[in-house]
Amino acid sequence: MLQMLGAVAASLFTWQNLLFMNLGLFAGIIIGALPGLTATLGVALLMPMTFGMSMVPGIVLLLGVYCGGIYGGSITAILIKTPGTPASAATALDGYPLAQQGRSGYALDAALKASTFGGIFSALVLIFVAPQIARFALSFSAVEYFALSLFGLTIISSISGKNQVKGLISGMLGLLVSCVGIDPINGTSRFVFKTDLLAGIDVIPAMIGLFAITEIINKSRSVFKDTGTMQAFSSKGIPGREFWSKWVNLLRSSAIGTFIGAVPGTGATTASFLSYNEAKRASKDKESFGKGNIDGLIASEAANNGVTGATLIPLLTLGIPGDTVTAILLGAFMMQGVTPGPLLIVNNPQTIYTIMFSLLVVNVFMLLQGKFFVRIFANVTRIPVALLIPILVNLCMLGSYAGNNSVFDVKLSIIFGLVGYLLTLLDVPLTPMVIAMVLGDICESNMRRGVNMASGSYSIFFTRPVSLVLIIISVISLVYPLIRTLIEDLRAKKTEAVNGGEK
Amino acid sequence: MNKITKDKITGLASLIFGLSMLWYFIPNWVVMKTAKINNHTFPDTFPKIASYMLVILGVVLLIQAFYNEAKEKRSGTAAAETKEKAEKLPFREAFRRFRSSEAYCVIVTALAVLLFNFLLSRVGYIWTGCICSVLLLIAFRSKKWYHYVIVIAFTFFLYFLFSRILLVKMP
Repeated sequence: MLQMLGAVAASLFTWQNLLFMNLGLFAGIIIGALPGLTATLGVALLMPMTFGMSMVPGIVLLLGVYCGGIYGGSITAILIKTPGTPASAATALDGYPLAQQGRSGYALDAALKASTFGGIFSALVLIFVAPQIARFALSFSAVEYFALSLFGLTIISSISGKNQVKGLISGMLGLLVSCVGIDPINGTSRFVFKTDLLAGIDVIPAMIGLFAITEIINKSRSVFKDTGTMQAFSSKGIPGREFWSKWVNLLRSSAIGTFIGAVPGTGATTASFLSYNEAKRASKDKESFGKGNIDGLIASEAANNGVTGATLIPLLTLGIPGDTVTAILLGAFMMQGVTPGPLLIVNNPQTIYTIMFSLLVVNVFMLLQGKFFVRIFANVTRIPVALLIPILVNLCMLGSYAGNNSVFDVKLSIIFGLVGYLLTLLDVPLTPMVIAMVLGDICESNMRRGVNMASGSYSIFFTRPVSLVLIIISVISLVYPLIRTLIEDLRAKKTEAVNGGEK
Repeated sequence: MNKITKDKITGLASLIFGLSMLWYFIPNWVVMKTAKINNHTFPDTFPKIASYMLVILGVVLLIQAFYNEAKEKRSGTAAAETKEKAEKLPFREAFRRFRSSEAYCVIVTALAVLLFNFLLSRVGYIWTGCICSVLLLIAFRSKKWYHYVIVIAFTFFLYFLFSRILLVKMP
């Protein structure tokens, strides 16, 4: 183990890794601090920059963008009450009132420290839990992998968005997109339409289109809008003793964030609101929440950064992305010729441990950058949207071209971007589509292998315990929201009837 | 557009897309020639499952939308659609308002992206990047000269980064 740690340290602490990690963090915090731009967009935009790099610096850069993006959202949430990312919406509830009271430095410092704590907690869980899951997953066959990908698809569709049916429609569209190209079992072509699609639709232009172009078009709506008034910046941070006196809240919120992050389809926004509510429930001073209670801010920030390491657990151990950022990271891994999964941890432990430990280091650098550059990050909100849009359009177009040096990929990303924008107008969530595009191939090839193994019988998926359990959970995740709606309707009718009778 | 209308459009689109996959795209664009070698699953199995699901989900969403609409009508909570008389504006005024609207910004950005694609293979990246960025700034009525300098400099920076450092063959 010590020998392994030494090797990991040697491969991690190179000047290239540290440089790219910090560049990623810096860019991530800036993107996160810009209202309307998310960590997902940051990772999608910067992924093309990793094409020419070897795997570790490339992944480390993207992890920096991811962690920085989640933290960066808190800066504008506190200073202008506009969360840079949805994950920081709960931070604004108490952060902004604190800034109004002239304690912006205090709030920003607490957010930074809580984010770092949550991030490190999550990274440690990743380091200790991931190898155990990978060992367990080594015994999985095609049958279990099919059930696992089905579980990933259904749970993401059921959780994301307000309407479960729309989530599932989005997922099905993603599955159809994943079918384009050569059939994985028979080798025949599907939906190629006399174009360059024989190799399938590349995930990178599709993701740049769905996330980056869609977000840019959405962001452009605020070109002529006022960005809001920024509260005055005060430099007095939170005293160490006061911060550490919140250790119960920190641990609870980081644990919630980590747990939520490990479940596919949930994410940082859910985690931060859940932790905020838990902190409020546990507090003796519930009335002060929403008026500048530091516990609310700490809970939200520790939880949303607590998600970062945990989302890598299903990705690195099972090869299943849990959210959009990890779906893009999976694309980055594949671009480097590496497929994440249990075999990768067993066969190539040094690389994977280097990536896992890098998450710890990323969080330490995030603390340092946050301490020294917070004023710069805060001023990012002053960049006019009219200037931002041409820069982002340029970056997107070049990014989608650079993957395969193909103008056709630029066309693809534009098609995905416009379709994505239309889908968001109809309230169709895009996350299930992206996850399905990534999981579609795994799902199909394993389903067909499983059926072929069982000589054409689909019953094989119900006779193996792991597969059966996963399929049952998938069915429950699909049926439960419908049953809950029915029960709520019945209850409402009952209450109406009782109220009518009383009158 | 209210939620029910959005649900109806999505449901209908899903239904039509699913049916067109089943009746046109799968029979015509999935090659089955060598598929018989493997006798249990076929190249069209998975697309068919996804397409049938799209049809079913489309129908479910439509039923859900009509049910919700009926429920709202019954309970009388349907938002009374206030049909305001369209204010008649002179063309110039209407155009001026449109130029400050969200729709204008969305259309301009979408057009810029399409223009980028059109120009990229014809005039190369540097010209495309500069033309699109400058046109976007003009469309957004940016009056500061240094914004124009920044976007042009950024185009050159990206060209340098991708072609010289990341060794991407640029158009």
